[in-house]
Amino acid sequence: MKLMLGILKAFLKSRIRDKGALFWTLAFPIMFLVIFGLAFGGDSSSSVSTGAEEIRYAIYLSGEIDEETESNIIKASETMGLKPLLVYSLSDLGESVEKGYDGVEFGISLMDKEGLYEVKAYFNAGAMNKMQFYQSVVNNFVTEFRKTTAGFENIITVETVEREFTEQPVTNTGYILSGVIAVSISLSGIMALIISFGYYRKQDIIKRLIVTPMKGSQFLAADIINNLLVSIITIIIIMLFARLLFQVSFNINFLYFAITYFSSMFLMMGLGGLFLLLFREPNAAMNAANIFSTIMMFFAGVYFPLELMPKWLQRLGYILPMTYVAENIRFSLGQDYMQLSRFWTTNAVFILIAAVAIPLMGKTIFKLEQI
Amino acid sequence: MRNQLFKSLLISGLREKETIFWILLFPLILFTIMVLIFSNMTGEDLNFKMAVIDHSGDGMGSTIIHQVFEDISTTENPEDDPLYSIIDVKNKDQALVLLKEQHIDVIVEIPENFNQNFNKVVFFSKISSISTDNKPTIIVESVPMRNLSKLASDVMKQILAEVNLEAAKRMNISIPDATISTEMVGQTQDFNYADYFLAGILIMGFFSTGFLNMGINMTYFRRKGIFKRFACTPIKKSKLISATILSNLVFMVMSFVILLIYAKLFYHVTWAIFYPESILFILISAILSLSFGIFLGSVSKTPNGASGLANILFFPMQFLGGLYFPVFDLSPAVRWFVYINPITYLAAGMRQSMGLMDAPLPYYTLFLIPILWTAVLLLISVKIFKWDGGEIA
Repeated sequence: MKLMLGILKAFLKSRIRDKGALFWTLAFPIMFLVIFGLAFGGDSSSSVSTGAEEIRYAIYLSGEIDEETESNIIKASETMGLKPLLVYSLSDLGESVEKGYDGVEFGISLMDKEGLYEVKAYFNAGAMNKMQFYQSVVNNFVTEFRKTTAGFENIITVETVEREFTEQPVTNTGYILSGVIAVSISLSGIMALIISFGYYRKQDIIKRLIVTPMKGSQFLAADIINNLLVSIITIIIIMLFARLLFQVSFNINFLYFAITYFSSMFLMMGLGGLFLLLFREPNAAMNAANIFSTIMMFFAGVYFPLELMPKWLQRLGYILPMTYVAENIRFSLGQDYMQLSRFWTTNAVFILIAAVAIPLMGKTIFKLEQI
Repeated sequence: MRNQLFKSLLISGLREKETIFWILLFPLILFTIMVLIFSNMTGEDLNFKMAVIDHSGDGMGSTIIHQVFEDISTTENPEDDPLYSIIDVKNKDQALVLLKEQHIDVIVEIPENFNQNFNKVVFFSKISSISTDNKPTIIVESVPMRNLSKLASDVMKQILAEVNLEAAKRMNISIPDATISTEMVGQTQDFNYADYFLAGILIMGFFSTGFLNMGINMTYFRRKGIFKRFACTPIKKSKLISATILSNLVFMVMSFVILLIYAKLFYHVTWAIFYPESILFILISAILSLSFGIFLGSVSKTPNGASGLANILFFPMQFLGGLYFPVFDLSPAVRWFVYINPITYLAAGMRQSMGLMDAPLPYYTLFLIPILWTAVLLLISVKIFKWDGGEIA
């Protein structure tokens, strides 16, 4: 035990002294959190789906549009929560949309061709990520305008109910940041054993340790504890940042979070260990793990919705472990609901994979060094 | 002598697996991922799962609604998924459990008085106006935090709005027809995600070379006393610097050529990257990234420190520089960074010059800001650069 504690102390000191490693474990996740929180989080809560926030758009009306139509446009806009900005030429319309003058987000031109309204929507190519949303707003606006013009009131009304299955209201930022925490856990887990075991092996440190009374399992245990400690400190700092910068207060279920944290870290360490076994050379293992992590980061549904992708890309997302880490983390931080049976099953699978992969890696590496 | 130096630096760089990975291979992986995601995020394979709870019994209103639901839950080709798949449920409680556990995306409920109110509206709306309370209502329940659920609810509302218009027509209410077309503004040719990301990833590859190779190598040379050792030889120190710059330029050219061949072969990008103005932006990108490298090599004391600083600078610069997603509509809290970031101007300028989209920035700033950054970085570097200060001092 004393031996293991000594190694653990050495591991921790070495981690603190290594600025590169410190960056990847501490600064990188925080930067990730700040950038994605500021860029995509916003302050919207679930109520945003009502589309009640006012959206400014530019509108150009051709000469034959009369005052009554103009007033119908204003009425339809009000109903839709839109704020029109009247422009007097098509070039002004294009410019307003392109430059975003007065907060204009898209544009509409309206022409009356003998009773048939020709509507043209103008979208800024630079805001391609919002195109689908604006297209849907324009479609709804045109429907509303046609009804207003006919003086027709809806026969069937639609009442929307927004359900939340979490104990506390979930915000966009909280939802995204819980995904960022999942990414951070996954990345630090997958690199953990590659960094220590791979490089210690390369520097013949493991070879030297073998001739001491220390057991391989003690070394492995100290390394794992070191990584778990560093990673949990990172997670706490990330959460504090999330709280300070974005006022996100996670509704943490500590038992579920602890289970998710340990199982995810073990799984990722195991996967990192498998990369090390597969490639032997730590740099090659690190590169392979980097490729794998990059693919996971983008296809795990944290930054881009998997559902909008084709089936084959969705399937890819569902075989990547980070997808499930993100699900479990969101659940344990009170950001989404999941079935308990699903939660326990995924965690059990994570532990099972880790229970095979980590000892296999440790034994193989020590065996290789004994030869 | 400079040739030999340059050659040895180039060969030693190529022997470094890290260099090969981050400068030559990683841009290809990122390019593939980005093009795959954005060009496929069309929602063509969307399939919403919906539970319908009908308390209304038989009647004209509910028959029309069920007809609409049947239309949207069937496809001509049985192998294709319909827009909505209807999941059978016994009651509302079961539907809510399914919604909670993500087995369905939306619940549509037709209340008990739906047919009664529908008939009233249809038969008496011309005689007297019907108050909102007595209108037939359909309840759509979703979980807005879940993308698919929110989308399922929004699309359902659009479908029901169309049902209203159709019903009005059948009631001989004259609803004006309208056609909707779209036009992209700030885009001068057919938009192509592969070209869009080619520009972004190309700049990323260049800056990776500057930040992660040049900057760290310079610090390493100083730290290990290589600069000092060269001082004892007839080789001028300036030749070492120029050979370092040249070898990094070659890495950039290699990164560019490999990425272009890959993108041309597999994603059929256009040759727009070779328009004269695009080439100018490529050159400015190369010079600026080398300036960042020299700056890093000047301010950092150790390769580890340089690596940390490089990542701290490069990471936000690439994400908030518009290399991967549009940045001009980001929240005001980060917009200031977008506007001081030289990568923003290079990416926007490159895409404008390739005819992909107009930059929402004054034309002169596209050149001026990166050039200003280059000048400032080089000035600082010249002022603080030291040949020694390493382990062998």
